[in-house]
Amino acid sequence: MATKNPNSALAEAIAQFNQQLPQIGNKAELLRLLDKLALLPQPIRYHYKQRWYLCSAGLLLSILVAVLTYQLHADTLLYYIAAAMALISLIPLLIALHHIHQLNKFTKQLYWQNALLDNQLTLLKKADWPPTAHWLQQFAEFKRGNYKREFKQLIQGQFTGSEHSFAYHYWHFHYVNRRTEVSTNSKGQVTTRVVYDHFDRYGLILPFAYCRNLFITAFAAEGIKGERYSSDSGRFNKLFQVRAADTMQAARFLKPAIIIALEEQAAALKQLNLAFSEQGELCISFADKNVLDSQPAYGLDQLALFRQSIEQPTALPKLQQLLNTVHQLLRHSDSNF
Amino acid sequence: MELGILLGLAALILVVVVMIYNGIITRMNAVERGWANVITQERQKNKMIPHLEQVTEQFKQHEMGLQSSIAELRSGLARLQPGTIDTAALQQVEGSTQKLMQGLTIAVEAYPELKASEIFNNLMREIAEQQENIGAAIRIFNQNVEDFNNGIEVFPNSLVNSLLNKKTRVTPFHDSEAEAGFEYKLR
Repeated sequence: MATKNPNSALAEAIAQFNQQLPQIGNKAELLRLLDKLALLPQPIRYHYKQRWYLCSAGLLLSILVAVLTYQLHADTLLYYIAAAMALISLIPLLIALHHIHQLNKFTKQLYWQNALLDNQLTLLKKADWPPTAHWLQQFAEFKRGNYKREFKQLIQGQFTGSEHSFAYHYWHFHYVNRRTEVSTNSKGQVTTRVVYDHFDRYGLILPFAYCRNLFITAFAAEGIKGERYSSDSGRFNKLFQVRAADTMQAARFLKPAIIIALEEQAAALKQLNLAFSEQGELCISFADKNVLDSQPAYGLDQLALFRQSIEQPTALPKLQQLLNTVHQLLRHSDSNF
Repeated sequence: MELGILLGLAALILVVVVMIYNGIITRMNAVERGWANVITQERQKNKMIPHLEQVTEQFKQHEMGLQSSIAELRSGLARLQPGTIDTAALQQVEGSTQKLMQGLTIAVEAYPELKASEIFNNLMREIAEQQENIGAAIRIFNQNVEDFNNGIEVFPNSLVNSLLNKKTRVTPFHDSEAEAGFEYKLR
């Protein structure tokens, strides 16, 4: 029986582990998967040195054929042969690049799964999503986009603070604006074309019973109504617009500690909005897509070090900062008596 | 033609001067509002004083010392006026608060049953939140002061101020203990 090529074996194993990854529900399962990875020939990496040499030689040869054909004014058929040789040389190279990309993607995915577990986050399958229709109706944030609006990702989380604990959903919302562009060329001919602009917003939704009908926006969506309110801080007023059904409520909510917390949060997140709905939910939205980002310091080729980094708690500092701000809002809005 | 350019230039200068003049007034108003906010936050302590007095009655050994600290704080709060930016008076109030809090911390160690009581803990939590708000209000006041001071000192604002507004620098409030009261730091 012929022995399997080590590169093909690795590609197969990675594809198999990739399928298992979404089913991992706790750290022990994740570590068991690493144990299985440890059984593969180490270090975990593709060995394509020979292939690089062969491909380089094939490419050089095809260039040489093309140059000689040009200089000797030979038959143009030789050009086609040179091009075909170059293409044939490139195919294994592209396959190798695809495999390397898959391995890197798997490493990142594995590390991200670990970060989710460490931060009590669960990536929800579409079938498990809570009904999003009432969010779309409740918050002006989701009325952006005149062509398409959709949630791309929902992650469920739980925060436990010194005084308050709460469940929340992290969301990724995608919307598309459709517009018509009219242009005139040098001959005066007018042409129109339809352009689709794609945008993404990210954020959290959580229950917030202490404040309703208040909107604090750095990137306001259309349809936010209410009286305008200015705080005591000139810097806060430059960063945010505040609208409330009742300005007294805005004044009560925007205590100095909350103003400072939001000023600091706005320095960390672009286009930050907070919308407190009538139904007692808070929708925080922003443009930063890296709030849940976590990059591994080591690759799978250094499996022992990679495992050590997985065993350590993985921090998501931007998310933690945001959750601390929410906790701060709750602490200063509730009643201590 | 030249007269038109000159008139246009004069109008432009006038608009700029009016904008700078109004900007200085707006920033001064923000400073005053910031100060009034600090005083409002400080006066919130008045609501806590009756509760504190009630609690200190239970600290028999420390009652006298704590009562005098409360009296000191009460008179300090009465001296604070929203219309007058008096950072020395604010410093005194903050000093009294710190003294009272230190006294309470020492006293409570001798009464573990009180330390475990919900009412006492709620009171301490409320005081801690108040102190955070005072620290934050001071920070907002200082931010507004910085914006105002920059607004009268940079050129050409300094020229407009010396000729028209005639405002002087406002001294920011610096008290490391009061600022430390604002415990919340983003991690």
